[in-house]
This record gives sequence, structure tokens and C-alpha cells, in this order.
Amino acid sequence: MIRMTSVTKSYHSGTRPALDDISLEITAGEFVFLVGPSGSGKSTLLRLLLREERPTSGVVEFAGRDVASIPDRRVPLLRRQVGCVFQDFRLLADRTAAGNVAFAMDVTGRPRHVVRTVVPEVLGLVGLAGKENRYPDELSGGEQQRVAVARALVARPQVLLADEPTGNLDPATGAGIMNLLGAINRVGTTVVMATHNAALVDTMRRRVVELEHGTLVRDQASGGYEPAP
Amino acid sequence: MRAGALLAIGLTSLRRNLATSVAVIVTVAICLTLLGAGLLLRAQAHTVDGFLLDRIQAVIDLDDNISGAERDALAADLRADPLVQAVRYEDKAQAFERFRRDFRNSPDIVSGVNAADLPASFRLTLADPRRAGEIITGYAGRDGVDRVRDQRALLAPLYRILDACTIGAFALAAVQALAAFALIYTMIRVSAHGRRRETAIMRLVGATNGTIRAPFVLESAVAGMVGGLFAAAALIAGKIYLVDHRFARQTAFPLFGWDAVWAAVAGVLLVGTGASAAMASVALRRHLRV
Repeated sequence: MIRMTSVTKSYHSGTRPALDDISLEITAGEFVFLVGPSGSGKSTLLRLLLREERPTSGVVEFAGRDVASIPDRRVPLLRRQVGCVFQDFRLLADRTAAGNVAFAMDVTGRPRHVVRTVVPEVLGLVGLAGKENRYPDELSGGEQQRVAVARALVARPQVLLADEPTGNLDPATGAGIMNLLGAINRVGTTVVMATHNAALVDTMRRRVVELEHGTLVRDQASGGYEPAP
Repeated sequence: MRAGALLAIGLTSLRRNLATSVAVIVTVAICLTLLGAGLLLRAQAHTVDGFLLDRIQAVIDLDDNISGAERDALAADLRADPLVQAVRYEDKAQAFERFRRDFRNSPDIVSGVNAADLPASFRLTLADPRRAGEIITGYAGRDGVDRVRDQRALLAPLYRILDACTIGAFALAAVQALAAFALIYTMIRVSAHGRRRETAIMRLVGATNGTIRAPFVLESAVAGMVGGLFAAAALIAGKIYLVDHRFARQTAFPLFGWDAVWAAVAGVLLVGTGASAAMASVALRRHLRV
């Protein structure tokens, strides 16, 4: 599904690269935690997968295709197959929960009758049935993140990238979001989640990829947040 | 993206940036009114042109001492001349009648003139009135000819005024167009900044570049079109006030009609909408990352 081969990303020549010679393969249906201190290159790795950035050297492949070589006009199609959620939710304050989800469908050209059917379904799926007409400031942090997850899911992406999705949430709410991502993964969506939340990583016991100063220092199946002693 | 959703985003953006939008609309309206005025002045020049080409003839004023033989010879030459389509002889009495008719609104002028003061003449309809110069060089100075007049040349000052006004209107419209571009540029910058979160989300969920840019282009096109509608209203008001009322009774030359106004209205609406959309596209290259 995702393959990175000797990927290096430098933002300014002369400084330490944000990612340094990373090789990594993630197969379809996997759940992968991306851990490491701030500045270790987790977000850069996610940005490369979204084609927000291109690698300085090396190859990033998604579904067998070199992401960097996708023509600009085809990049939107890539992004419809790669959903993403962020620590700060990135919702539109002047749209309701349903409006935020519908926005993602409207701007990708989905017909109105599909939007009307799919939006309540997906909101129900993420546990927000009955809260479709609430505005973001009328929802809790966890509920806002669920709206963001619903928005990422409406395009039925093959991969869901989550950049610190529980970073702004209390532990219990964070665990709720974690369970939601687990459920999404169980129905076949590949999930790559960058996080600092040691408790969640330790509880889930999934594959852990650890970065430090832009280099891959650990790739462990069923790992914890800290490497085993 | 559905047209309804697109329109909703564009109009919301226009409303949010109301002050800038109003400035754009006013500037575009002034620019397009000047452009439309220029178009109507050109139409007026064409109208006068058509009128003169239809009506005005070259005139050969005859010397009072011309002999009958000289006059007959001149008439025969004129009838044989391929440049001349028709020849009409006007004697002094007929000339005085016409003079009285032309200046019926100025009795003081008429009372100071009598038939003897006016020359008899040959009034010519030319095959091509633009070649009146050849008639002048061909017949001026012949025995019995006082002078040869190209009636069209009499209106040269009018043409000069129309041309100057047209160029002036177009030049001012160009200056206003620069101001409009600066304002549209600012409107897009403000709008792109105000909607940066929305456009970032659009990019992330896989909206195409066209979809991301479309609301901005639409916003500018709508502002341009509204400006165009105001300009159209000004042109129509100008036609009603100036042509149909203020100068309705002048008979020196005909004025442009509604067909010219509708053509100018269509022109300003097309230019207003199209140019505003194009200006927004240029500004987007600078202010919107897609």
C-alpha cells in the first residue's frame, strides 16, 4: 500500500534533513503508530504521503505509484484516497457537523442526493447521531475530532493519516477516538497515526515506527511507546 | 462542484468582504460607464457618417457672371463624370428658399439676407463621397465656378470633437480599469486570507484546483457583473435624458439609437464580468496555493 525507499527530505541545504534515508513499507489494512519526539520527522512523513511535499531524494509510493511523479492535476485524486485528521480538528466554525462533512463531499463534486444520504450515515458511524446540526463550538473536543474523522471517511479512503489526533483531548476522550480509529481499521482501512500518547500505544500493541532526528530507529510489530529494554 | 454550492460560497465571501466588494463594484461601474460612453460616441460618429454619406453632396457654387454656355458645358461635364452620380441645379431663388428653411429658427439671420446674396449652384450626389477631394481639384478654378465645397468637410470639427471625446473616454476607462484591477487584487487577497482554512480543507479532501479557485473567480465575476449592470443603467439613463429629451429637437444630424445602446450594454456586461474574472485568476496565482 505504502512504500518508502531511501527517502530523504531537506528543507534548507546545509541543515539536518527532516527525514534521512527512510525505508519503510506499510501493507493494506495495517495499523501503524508513528512515534518520536517533536521535530523527529513524523509530520514531514505524513506530508510526503499527501504530496504536500516532495522528497529531496528517494521514492514514496502509494498503491504502486510514485507519489512525487503524480501530475499536479491528479494530486486531488490521491488525496481522496488518503484521508487525514489533525490535532486541531480543522473544522469550519460557521458550518454544522453535518455541514462540515457535506462540505468535503460538495467540493469533490458528489451529487446532492448522495451527500444527503451519506452524511448522516457517516456521522452515525462515528457516534454523532443526533448531533448533526450542532456547530463546532457546541461540541466537545472529542466530538469535534469525530466530525473530522467523519469528514475524512466520506470519500472512503484506503488510508487514514492521523497527526496527533488525541493531542488536544483528555485521556478518556482520546481513548474513545482511538477506539474509533481501531474500528475503522478493522473494516479494512489502513491507519497511520503519529502520536505522543504513550498510554494509547502501550494499550493497543500495534506496529510502532519510531523516528528520531529524521532517522528510523525502530520498526516493531506489536510494540509499545518505549522500546523494550 | 455543484453550481448551487459554488454560488453559496462565492456570495458568502462577497458579503463578508462587503466594503471591498462595494469599492470594486463602484470602480468597475465607473470604468464600464466610461467604456460604454466611448462606445456610444463611436456609434454617434458612425451615425453621423452614415447620414452624411447618404445625404451630403459636394456643391459647386457658380459665379454670378457665368454665361449660359459655360453653365451648360459644366453641367454636361458633371453628368459625364464617373465620380458624380446625380446633378441638380439650384438657382438663386431655390437657394434662398433652402436657406430660409435651414435657418427658420434664426429669423435675424434670414432677414439680413436676400436671394441675390446667395449663389446658384450645382448640387452633386457623389458615387463615393469620400472622393470629394477629386471633385474639388477637378472643378475649382474653371470658368464660371466661384468655389467647390465638400459638405462633409464642414463637419470636420464635429468629427474632431467626437474623436477626442471617444479617446478621452477610453483613456479614462483604462485608468479606471487599472484601479479596478488593484481593488480586485486586494479583494482576492483579503478573501483568500479570510478563507485560508476553508481552502486548506478543500485541498486536503481532494478538491481540484479549479474547484478551489472557482468561488474566488465567481466572487469577482459577480462584482464585475453588478458593476456592469450599474454601468448599463447609466448608459440607458444617458440615452433617455440626452438623446431622447435634451437633444431630441436638434436637426443638424441624427443621434444614435437604441440598437447602439443595447450593443454597448452587452459590451460592458461581457467585459465587466469577463475581465473581473480574468483579473481574479491573475491575483489567485499570487495569493492562493493549490
